[in-house]
Amino acid sequence: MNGITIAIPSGRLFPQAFSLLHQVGFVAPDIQDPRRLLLPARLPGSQVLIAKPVDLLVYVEHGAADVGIIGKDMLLEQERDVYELLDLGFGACRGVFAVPRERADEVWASGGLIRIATKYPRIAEEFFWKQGRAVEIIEMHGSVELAPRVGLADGIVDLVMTGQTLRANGLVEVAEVFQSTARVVVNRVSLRTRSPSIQALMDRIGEVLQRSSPGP
Amino acid sequence: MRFQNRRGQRYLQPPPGMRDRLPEEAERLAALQQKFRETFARWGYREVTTPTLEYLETIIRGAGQGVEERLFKLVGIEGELLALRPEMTVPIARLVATRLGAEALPYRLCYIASIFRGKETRGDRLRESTQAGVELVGAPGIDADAEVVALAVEAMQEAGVEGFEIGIGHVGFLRELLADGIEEGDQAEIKDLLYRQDFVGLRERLQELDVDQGISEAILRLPAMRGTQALEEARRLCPTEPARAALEELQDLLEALQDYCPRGRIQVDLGIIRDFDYYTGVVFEGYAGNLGYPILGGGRYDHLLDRFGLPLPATGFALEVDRILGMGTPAPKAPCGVLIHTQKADRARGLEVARRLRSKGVVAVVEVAGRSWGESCQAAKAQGLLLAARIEDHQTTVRNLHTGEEWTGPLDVAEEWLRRGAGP
Repeated sequence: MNGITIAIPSGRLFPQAFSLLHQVGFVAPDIQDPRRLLLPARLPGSQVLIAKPVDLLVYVEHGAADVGIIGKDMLLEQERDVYELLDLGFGACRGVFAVPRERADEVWASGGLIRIATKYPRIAEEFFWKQGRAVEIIEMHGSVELAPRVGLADGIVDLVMTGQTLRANGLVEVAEVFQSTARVVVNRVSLRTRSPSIQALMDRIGEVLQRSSPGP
Repeated sequence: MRFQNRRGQRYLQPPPGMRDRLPEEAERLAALQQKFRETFARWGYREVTTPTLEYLETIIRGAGQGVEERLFKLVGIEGELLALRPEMTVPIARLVATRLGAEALPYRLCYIASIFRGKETRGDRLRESTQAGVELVGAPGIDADAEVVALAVEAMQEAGVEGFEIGIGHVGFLRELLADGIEEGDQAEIKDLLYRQDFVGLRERLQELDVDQGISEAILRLPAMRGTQALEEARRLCPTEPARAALEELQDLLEALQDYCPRGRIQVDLGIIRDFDYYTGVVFEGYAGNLGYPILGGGRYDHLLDRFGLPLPATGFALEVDRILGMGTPAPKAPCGVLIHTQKADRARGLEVARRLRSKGVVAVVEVAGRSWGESCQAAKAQGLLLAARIEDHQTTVRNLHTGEEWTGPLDVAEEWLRRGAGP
């Protein structure tokens, strides 16, 4: 069996993604050195690559990683040429369109051009296009919720987990744009040329998911 | 290394997704193309060319409405919509249907051409790339499919690609599964999910649509249905007669390939979904090394020519030449060739020597910038030439540009020396 490289995202999904790789026996539990970006796996020739979420799909699309664990939000935003095979269930969050509380009715009703700050320009553009609304997309890489407070944007499209950040910044949800959980993706060539290793891994992950999901 | 700031100087750059090739790479590309050309020719495939531009409606008629958003479009001088060809199969189908007719079948045609994708979302994202391929038109049977697969394998071998594999599937299998289990109106959506390789979304949608358990399972198993047991598994999973017929055809092709291509690494892969909608039967892809995307793809398209008025079955493939070129390591080029340096009085004599050397296949470069012998030798060495000759009235000096050795003597002896020393 060929060795395989699995990419997992740093940040929010990292602990659960790493724990999953441990549960399926791909890595030992005790090699979490936060500074290392390449970790050896149990099988010789296999490794774990820790990538920024926004870059992770690039590694998988080009075959630098055979398998990846990544949020559906990135898959929707980047439309990469990869196989999306499993829904891992964890990392659940929603992408919402939110506006300042005091302008909640006015922004949508005005009918004018709406300025939207977001980390998801493609998703946001498509969402508003489907609503038939003219928007100006302002692409940002962090602290999107700040944009309406300082007059940079009329509203935001961003991830929400508990709603805490929205409330703290005086924003209210107007509409849900997408739902996201962590997914397993596979490079289209690796799926074929490393088929036994990858199929075995998918089966193991499937078993772990079965065990952890609530029984009937 | 020097870095530059070319902001605001667009005229210095090729457009995004387009690129230049320097001589070293251009020569390797030409050599690779020549290999493919010769291989195709040995199998009786004759080269055709078609225009870089086609009417937009030609391409959409051939490749389907879905192709439009990936096209590089422009407006012609009469206001008509044109597109740069995104692949060569449709232009060649048009050519065969309108220019060749149905005599002397089957046609074996090949091409080496640039193709253009305006919105390329796959792999390397080049908007212009080179494809080399063949089309076998007018032959319906499994033998024709086996021939093109075997030719693809041979072309890979000729190109020196190591460790490549071919996966073979059949669009009929999926088509019949969909036709059997899913309402016509929902099929496009399911196909779209399959094309985007979103098997999580697919699972959800199949559940929502309440698709028959067996069919739903077969569709979801597609990415894993490869290798020796795949045909067995597929037969078990699929209840319908036409889908079985597709699997039967695959089985026959595999058997034929044992004769056509006994050493190829070929396996069944029912998960192959090609990106153009004209395919009707067997489809295949080739993979190599650690490259994350296919280096060749093809299959049978029995209704495409009919869209241009001539119902003929056909099959073929295209090789991604740039990807194959990128996999090889460039061999350093050994210095060869001769610089000829003369004063004006001896120019005719010098040019005569250059002519004779070239006719023998020796690279002969003449000093045309009026530089001194010393300067001219220095430049020639940097250009990768091996020898330099200073031809004068009564004697000729030959210098080895890399060792610095010099030899002086009569012209006829020198010329023989140049021919032997710098020739092919």
